[in-house]
Amino acid sequence: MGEMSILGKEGDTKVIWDVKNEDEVEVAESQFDALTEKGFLAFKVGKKGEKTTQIKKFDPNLGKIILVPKIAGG
Amino acid sequence: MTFSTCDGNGTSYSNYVWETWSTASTASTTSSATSYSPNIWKRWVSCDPYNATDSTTAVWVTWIEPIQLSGKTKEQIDEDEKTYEKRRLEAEKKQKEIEEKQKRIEEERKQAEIKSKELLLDLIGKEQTDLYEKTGRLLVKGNKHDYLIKKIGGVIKVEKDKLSDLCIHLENRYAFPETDNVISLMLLAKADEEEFNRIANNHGTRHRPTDFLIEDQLKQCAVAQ
Repeated sequence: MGEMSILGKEGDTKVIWDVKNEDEVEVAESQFDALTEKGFLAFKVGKKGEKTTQIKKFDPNLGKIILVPKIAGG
Repeated sequence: MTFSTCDGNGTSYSNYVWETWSTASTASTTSSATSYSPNIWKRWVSCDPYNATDSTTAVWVTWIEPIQLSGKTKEQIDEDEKTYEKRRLEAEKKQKEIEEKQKRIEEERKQAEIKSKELLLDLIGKEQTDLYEKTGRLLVKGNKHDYLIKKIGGVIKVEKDKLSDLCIHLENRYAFPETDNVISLMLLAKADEEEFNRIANNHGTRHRPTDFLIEDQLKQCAVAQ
């Protein structure tokens, strides 16, 4: 199972997929692409102790992904 | 009111003369007086000291005239009052709608913040989330430096001997739950510290006090490992 949390105004929205289900993976991937094109940053977060990494391309096998809106300096 | 006067030969006497008299007099004269009364000269009794006596009553007992303010008739004034009342009720209704909308938005923000803290809980665990809730601060240990991210906004970059105030946040951050901002900064600081520092604006660097975030004070903030 894969999970993607998309941060938004109402808290995060979760998109879950079964890696064996092509339709679910396709839906998740298209959302990932649409949001990163808008400027969202994507991070792969692991279990405790695992390193957080920024990702540019969707991979259904990454486990948990968090998409955050664009970050700016103030 | 009674008004009476007396000359050398006879006496004039009148009751109810100028029932209402508004005056702005100077000294003992009434030369600069202004008067207004619906009941002017209710009764006038006068006495001619040389000839016969004239007497008359009921002179201008009542002065009837449509009330006019700013050139408007009573009907126009009534109409204005109706319009005013209608607008007042409309404004009151609108105010209530705004208040209800604000309440709804406030409730939605609360719910969003709850969801956001649940995500943080997933990422840093219960103990650190509780500490974050208590202190409103989250310490991220980067590869080069540490970053103290404040829930209310702003980041302190903690170096060995200095502290820097950084300004970095989600674009349009006030539209998002406060904790979403913290989570986003935490993820970027952990994943790409260089990019984090490139985006952030440094608003000033100062000497790091010796007791700033030493081990026994780490309970003053949550720590994202």
